[in-house]
Amino acid sequence: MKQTGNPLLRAIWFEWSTHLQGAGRSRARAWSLLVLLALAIVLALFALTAFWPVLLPIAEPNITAITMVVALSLSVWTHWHRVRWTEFYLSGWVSTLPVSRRTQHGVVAVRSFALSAFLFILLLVAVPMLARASPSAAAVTKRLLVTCAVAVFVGSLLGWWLPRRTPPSAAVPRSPVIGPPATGRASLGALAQWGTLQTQRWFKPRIISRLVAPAVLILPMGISANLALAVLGLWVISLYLLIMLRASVHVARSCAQWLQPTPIRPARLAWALGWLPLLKQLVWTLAAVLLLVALGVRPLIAARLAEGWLAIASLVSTLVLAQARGLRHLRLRALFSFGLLAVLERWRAQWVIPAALLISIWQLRSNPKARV
Amino acid sequence: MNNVALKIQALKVGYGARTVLEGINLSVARGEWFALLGPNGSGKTTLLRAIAGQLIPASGTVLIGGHSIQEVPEQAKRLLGFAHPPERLPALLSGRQCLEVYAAAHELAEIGMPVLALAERFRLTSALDCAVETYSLGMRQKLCALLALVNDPALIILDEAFNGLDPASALILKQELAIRVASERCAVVLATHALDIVLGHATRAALLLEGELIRAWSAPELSALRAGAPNALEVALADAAATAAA
Repeated sequence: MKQTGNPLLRAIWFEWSTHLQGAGRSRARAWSLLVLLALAIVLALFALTAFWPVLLPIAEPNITAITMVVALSLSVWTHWHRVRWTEFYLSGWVSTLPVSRRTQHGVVAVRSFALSAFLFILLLVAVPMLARASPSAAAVTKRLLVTCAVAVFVGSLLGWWLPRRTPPSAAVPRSPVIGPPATGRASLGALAQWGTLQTQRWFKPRIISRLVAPAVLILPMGISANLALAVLGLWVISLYLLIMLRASVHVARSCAQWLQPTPIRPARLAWALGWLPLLKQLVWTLAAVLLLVALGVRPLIAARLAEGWLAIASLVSTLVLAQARGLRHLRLRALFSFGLLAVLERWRAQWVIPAALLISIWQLRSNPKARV
Repeated sequence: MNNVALKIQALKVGYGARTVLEGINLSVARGEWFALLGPNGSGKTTLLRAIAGQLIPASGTVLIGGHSIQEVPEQAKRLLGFAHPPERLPALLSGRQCLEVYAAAHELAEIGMPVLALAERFRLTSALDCAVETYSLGMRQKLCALLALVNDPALIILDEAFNGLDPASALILKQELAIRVASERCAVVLATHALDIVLGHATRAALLLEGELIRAWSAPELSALRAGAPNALEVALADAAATAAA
C-alpha cells in the first residue's frame, strides 16, 4: 500500500509513539503517560495560582529582567535545536529520503519551535487562571504574562534567524588533544575533564556572544548599565550552570556504562568524575550570588538559592550514576531524596547541603539488585 | 590457578517482561577460543553483556575465574577484558586518555607495554593523542580491543570485534589473541558472523538460536569441518537450525 503524507513527520510520529509506548509497545502506557503529563501541568498551574499572590510582588518590579531572560533562553533553545535538527536532516538516517529541502526545512522548524509554541499556549492559558487568583493585581498579571508570551515569540524568532557562520555539514570535529596531556601512567584525571569538555561542546561561547549584542539592543531606555550587565551576566551564568549540570548527567551516564566492566568502585568513579564540575558549580554559583545581591536580592535569600541549587546539582549527578549502575526503585529514591531536601529547605535550611551529600553517599553505596 | 575462565549455569536474562536468554549453560577454560554463532537478534550480545555484568540476570549464575559477577563483581571484573561496541567510547577523550582511565580503573600503575606494543603494530600510536571522535570505525575497534587487553585478562569478551578492521590489523589481533590462548593465559569468547575466524582460530563453537544454545561443536568436530568442504560449517549451521526448527 502506498504511504501518503510527509515521511519525515511520520518518522517523528513513530519516534514519539515508541518513546511513549516503551519497550513493551503498550498503548495503555502511552495513554497513561500522556494523562499523567497533562495532570502534572494542571497541578503545576494550580500550585502556581496558590503561590501567585506571593510571587507577583517579587516579579512585578523585575518584568524587564524576566522578559529578557525568557527571550534569551528561548533564542538559545531555538537556535541550538535548529542547528541540531538541520544537521540531523542533512546527515542522519532520513537524509537520503526523496523529500524536498522545503519539507526538510519545515520539519526542522516544527521541531525547533515546538517548545516555544507549547510555552506560548501555556502562558495564554495561565493568564485568566492567575488573574483570578489575584483579582486586585489582575492587570499586572496580564501585563507580565502577555509580555512573557511576546518574549517567547520574539526570542524564538531571534534564535531561528540567528546566522550560522558555517553550514553544519561543513563542521569538522576537532582533532587535537584535549584536557591535560596524557602521560601513559594510569590515571582517572581525564574523567574530571570530560564534563568540562562536554559543557564547552554544548555551551558555545560564540552563540552566547552573538546573542548578547541583540539582547543589549532590546533593553528599554533608561535602564542603568550596571543593572543591564548584572541581568545579562546572571543569565549567562545560569545558562552555564544548567548546561554544566546537563553535561554532568550525560557524562556520568556514559562513563558509568563505559567503565561498567571494570572493577572501579562507585565512590571512586563519582569522585573522579565529579570533583571538578562540582568545584566549577560552586565557583559560578558564588558568582551568581554576587550578581543577585548586586540586583538587590537579600544576601540570605541569594545564599539559600545557591544552597538549593548546589544540593540539586550533587543529588542529580549521583542519581544518574546510580541509575547507570542499575539501581532499582530509582524514581522512589529520587522522590524521597528531593522530598527530604524540600522539607529541610522549609524547616532547617542550613542542613540542606550536608543532607544532599549524605543522600548522595547513600545512593552510591547501594548495591544494584536488578537492572532497569 | 582456576583453569575455568567462565562458567554459566542456568542463565535467564530478559529486558522487562521479555525473556531473551533461557537455560544457558556454558563453561570455557583458559586456553580455549570459544566462538558464539547465531543469526541477528538471537541473543549473542545480550549473553555477552550478561557475562560482563552489564545486564543483571533474572536467574542463574555467571562465574568468571570462579567469582560470581553478581555477588563479587570487583573480583570477577579484575579477570575480565570486555571490548565495548565502538560507539560506547568517550568521543571527547583521546585514545591514550581512555587507556589511562581503563588502567587506573583496573588499579594498574601504568598502561602495560604489551598494549602499547600492540597499538604500535596496529599503527594507532600516532592517533592515540587525538580525540576519539576523529577516529574511523576501524580505529575505534582497535582502541576497543586495546582496552579489553589492558589488564591482561583471564577472560576476553569480544562482540563482532573484527568489523571494520583492515585485513592487516585483523590478522594482528587474531595472532595476538591466538598467542594468549595458546599460552593458556586466557580464554576468548567471540560473538561473530565471520566463519573463517571460527574455522581458523576457534577451539569450540556454539550456535545460539532464539535465546538457547542449540548446538555445540567440540575441537575435533571443528577440525573435521576444517578438513571438509569449504562451506562445511555453513551447512552444519543450517542443519542445526533446521533440526531445532523441526
